[in-house]
Amino acid sequence: MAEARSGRGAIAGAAGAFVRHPLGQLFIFLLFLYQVKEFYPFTHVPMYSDPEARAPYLYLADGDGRALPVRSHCGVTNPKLRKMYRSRLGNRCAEDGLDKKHPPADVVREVADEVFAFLRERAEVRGRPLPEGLQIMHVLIEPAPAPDGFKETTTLLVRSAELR
Amino acid sequence: MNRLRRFLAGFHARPVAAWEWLVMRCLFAGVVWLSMPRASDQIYSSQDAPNGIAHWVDLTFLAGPGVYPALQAVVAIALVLYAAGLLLPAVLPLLLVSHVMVRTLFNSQGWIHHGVQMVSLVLLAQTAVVLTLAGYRLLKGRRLELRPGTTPASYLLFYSQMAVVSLYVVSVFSKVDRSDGLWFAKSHYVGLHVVKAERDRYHAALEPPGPGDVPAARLVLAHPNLSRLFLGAGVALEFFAFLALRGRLWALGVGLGLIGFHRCIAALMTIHFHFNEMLLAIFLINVPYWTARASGRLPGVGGTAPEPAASSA
Repeated sequence: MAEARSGRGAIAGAAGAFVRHPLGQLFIFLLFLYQVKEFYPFTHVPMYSDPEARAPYLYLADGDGRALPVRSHCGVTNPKLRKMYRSRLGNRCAEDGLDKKHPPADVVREVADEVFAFLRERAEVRGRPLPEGLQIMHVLIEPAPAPDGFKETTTLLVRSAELR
Repeated sequence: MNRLRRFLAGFHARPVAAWEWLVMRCLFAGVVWLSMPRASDQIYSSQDAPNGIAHWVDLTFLAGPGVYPALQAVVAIALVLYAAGLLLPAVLPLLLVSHVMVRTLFNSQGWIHHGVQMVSLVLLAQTAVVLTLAGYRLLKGRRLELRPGTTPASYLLFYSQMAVVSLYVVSVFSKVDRSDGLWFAKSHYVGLHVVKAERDRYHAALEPPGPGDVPAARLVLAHPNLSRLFLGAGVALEFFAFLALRGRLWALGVGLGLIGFHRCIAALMTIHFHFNEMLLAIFLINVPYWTARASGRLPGVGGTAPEPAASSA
């Protein structure tokens, strides 16, 4: 009994020493950060944590497929356009129980309409309105033989309502 | 075993001179100010993809007429008080809440921007220290006993450093976990992401006309093993960032290494972490201290009794 009590005491003492030590505190905070993931100001810093053999990106284009300078118009960078589209699509798929890797075309159009509306609103605020018809283009960068080492394949992802 | 014990015992807050902490406060106040959006048109009127406290609080009130300019004025006054070391138990929570609200609204548009979290985390760390000290005094009726030679400023600096290094170390957890332990094997594919970063940069403003060449990406993809070695060194630097908590020299080394790491990323991918670099320079590299030490004029630090730091801390 006394041995068990002293064993528990030793564990409690070690736990106390761990929590009081700065490295113990740092470790606990790291576990917290990793558990919480993205909850501002907390983050698990996921950028480039899983470098895959494919790097897709999106860009905004007019009705003829010509690229538009999204930051100049809307104050939003290209990565933010991509993240905004993806996160809204991901949320929508999660809500409706859909596979976000293969979303139905109507869901893609609805999510894109939200993104177009956001971009138009920002462009108006900044006094740099966007053209009537908009498109989001999808580019996939993949490894390829030397000398280039990579190739880029561009496809149309979605058109705005005016072009459908 | 004794060596390990001695090594572990080296992680603690150290004496900080009042002038040194004053310089840090002034510089950090500048960083907090710079990390707030400059104009009201950067304050969004919707939060369609809530992040953080936006799950519970509608932060779009910040976009209301006159609200953000008023908040900016409050923050400016609070930063002057902070730099002067006055009313820290009131000023730091105010700065923390203001900063977190504004940056949370920014991150509630469907993207997560990772360039400013460190500033908020340092504010959080400093708030936690001043409230712990103030709370202890309030509850126990006496000051918390600090390590010999240290002052509250020592702990404010130490936990600011901890907030800074935590983001580097946790990024290693993410790399190991999200890549199923295959980060090193896959790391040369970062070359593809270098191309992506260049294309993103081009599409932002379509300048210069036409996407640029990407020789660095070609190099990385053509020499996977060399790339693994180079990129692996960066990851090792991130993992061992916690050593900055072991003393000024360690902090200097880690700080310089991480700034070099950020410079490499900026050169390779045109991705900048200006605020992280500023905080590394202020809290880890600490140029004023080393300048004073090199010139032989070092009042109040290391070996000599420290001057009393920020009185209200």
